[in-house]
Amino acid sequence: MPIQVNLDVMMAKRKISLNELSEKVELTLSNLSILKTGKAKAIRFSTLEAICKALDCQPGDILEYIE
Amino acid sequence: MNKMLKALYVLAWILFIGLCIRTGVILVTFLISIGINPEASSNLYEGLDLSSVMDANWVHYTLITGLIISIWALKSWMLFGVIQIFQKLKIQDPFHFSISKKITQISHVALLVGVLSILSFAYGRWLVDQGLMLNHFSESVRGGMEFLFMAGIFYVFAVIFRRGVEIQQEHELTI
Repeated sequence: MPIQVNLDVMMAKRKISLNELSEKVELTLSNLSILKTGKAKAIRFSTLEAICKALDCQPGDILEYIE
Repeated sequence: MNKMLKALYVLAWILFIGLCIRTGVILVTFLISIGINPEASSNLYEGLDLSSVMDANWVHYTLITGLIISIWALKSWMLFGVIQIFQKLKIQDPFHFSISKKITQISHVALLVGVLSILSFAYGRWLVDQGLMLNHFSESVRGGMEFLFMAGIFYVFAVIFRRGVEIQQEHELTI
């Protein structure tokens, strides 16, 4: 898929673990893993909003279009 | 809903056992008629009398009985597919690839049953035209067109179900 999820990069930049992020955005660890590994087929605006809020970043920092 | 599914599951088992018994009886009486007692061909199952065919030509007798047995065996297999669907089906999470595959398989078997029934019926009519008596034959092979129609319906169900599986997968992978 040309859309790449850079959640792991942002998590490393913010020095936040998957467990912490999971608690902050109220998502299960398995769902976050699916998102982090790029297996997700879609992302809800509400999830994106929660992640951006928790990591203090923009959606573009998490999602990237690669040709 | 679960109770209704269970009731249908039990009903499918009863029908499956009934069909297996029917197939088994025809098969056994056929084997008896060709191996031990040729008179058994006068009542293969519930008055199915193919004795005049057996007397006239052994090959025709084997072929027509083989067709009848194949039709009933395929009907049993079809019902076993329905049982397997009931075993796998969960109302909370109904769309699974394996179920969609089973429905497709049932549609293929129904198509085969329909084609074989029509062929057998035509073959039986040809034998009657040759002056042979086939008592209660049409009851054993009737419903060919209905099975063809059913095959089409099942195939459409399978396609819709496959789309349902895709939508469910997409839903599950939406975070």
